[in-house]
Amino acid sequence: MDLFDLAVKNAPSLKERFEELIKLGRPDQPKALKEFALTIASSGRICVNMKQMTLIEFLTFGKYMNIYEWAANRAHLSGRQVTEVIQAKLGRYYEKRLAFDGFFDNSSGFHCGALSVGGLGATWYGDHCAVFNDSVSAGRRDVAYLRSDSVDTYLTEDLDLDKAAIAHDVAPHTHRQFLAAIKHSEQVLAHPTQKWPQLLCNDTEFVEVIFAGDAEASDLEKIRMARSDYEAYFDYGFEDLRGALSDADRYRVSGFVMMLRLLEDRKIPLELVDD
Amino acid sequence: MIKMIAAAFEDGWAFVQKDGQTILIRPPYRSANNLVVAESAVEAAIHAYGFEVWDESFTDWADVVAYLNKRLVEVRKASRLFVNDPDATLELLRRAPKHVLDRYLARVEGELIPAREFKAAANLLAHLINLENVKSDAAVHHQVARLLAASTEGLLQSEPPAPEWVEQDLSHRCPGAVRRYGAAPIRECSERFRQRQQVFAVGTP
Repeated sequence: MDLFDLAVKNAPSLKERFEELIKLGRPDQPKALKEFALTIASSGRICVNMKQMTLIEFLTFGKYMNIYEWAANRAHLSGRQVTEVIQAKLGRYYEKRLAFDGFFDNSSGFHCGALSVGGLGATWYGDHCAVFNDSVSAGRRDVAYLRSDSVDTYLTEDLDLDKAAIAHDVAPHTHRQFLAAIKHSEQVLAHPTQKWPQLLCNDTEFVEVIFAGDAEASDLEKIRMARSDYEAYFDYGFEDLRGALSDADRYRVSGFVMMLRLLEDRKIPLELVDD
Repeated sequence: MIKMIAAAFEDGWAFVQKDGQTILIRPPYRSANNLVVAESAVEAAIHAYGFEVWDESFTDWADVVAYLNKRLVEVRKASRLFVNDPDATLELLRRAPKHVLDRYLARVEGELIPAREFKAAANLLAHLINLENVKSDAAVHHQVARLLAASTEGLLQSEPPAPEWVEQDLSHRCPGAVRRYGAAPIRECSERFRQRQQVFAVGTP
């Protein structure tokens, strides 16, 4: 199955469904939904949450690797088979992942992210939110947006793909705002505009983005991190000079400084988000 | 019993299972930061976010945290990418924004000096006083100088009284010098060094 082709084919249907919602919506809902969709169309970006070392690796080598690329790299260094490396990493999730990826053409080149208009993203997976600039998605055919976490949403318990559901939801880049607005049509009105970033992308809910092709550090627009985390590193610094910092925390401070240097070298802004 | 099911050791993050719940733990390991997550989050974390499957059991949270801290140091030490920069903290000071400097100074005055941690206070302030971000702000610079003087004064006053010199001990410690110069000049020299003392760490800029 060509996921990206499916997304392009589904575009008219998504627009129709969005317009239907606007027509039939409760008072005030159409205005809020239109504004929500506009916000996403103008500032919706692909973001990927990363932990400190993942981000350092990305900024150092300049390439965002998916599990297949990572495994190929690891296999090359260790002399093991790629499959063996992936199997060891995924453990009991190996078959599920293989089953899901097996339904799609060229899935070994897929990268995953989430649609974001601000905020810290899905912090379960990393406390730094790497935001890619528009060039990663705009004008590229090989980008598809899905309603939620793909494996969790579209893979059935007997490891079959819910093709009808995926065909119903999937959106190309140009229509991602309609997918998001349809998904959140019931909640948009209840959330003030400044809460929309968290509504769209948080730990448990996000519009998943699958894209193929390279994503490089030079494509980064910014890195977001929690202001409280940023401040905590400076407090670690104080404790270190007081002689009260553990080795592990000292390594974290080193990592933080490394990250700041790399961001500076690459001229990537660090945005602090109040959490 | 706490069972670790997935981890990203280089960052000290882990998914564990306890009492039927899947929990994400991460630094700074406060219980308020522990998040109950869906099982599907573990699969996504392993597939796309650098976690690996792990299977190990621990008796309590302290064991889990100690293990994660130990593994973080091991993995980062072994990493070809990571550099444990001994001057990282000093660089952090150089990068400290004004409000962080203010917080440091408030803590020196409110915590370190009252707790008679004069050495730690003097060490921190001696680093701060030469930084551009401190020198460029007259008020901050003045405050650093004032606190440094107070810490140094506290340090001098808190020194224990000079030990009683035991002639025999001196001859035992530095027999060659006593033979050559006699005990009195060595005692005098030692006392002079003790009074001056080395306030700052060697290598301080």
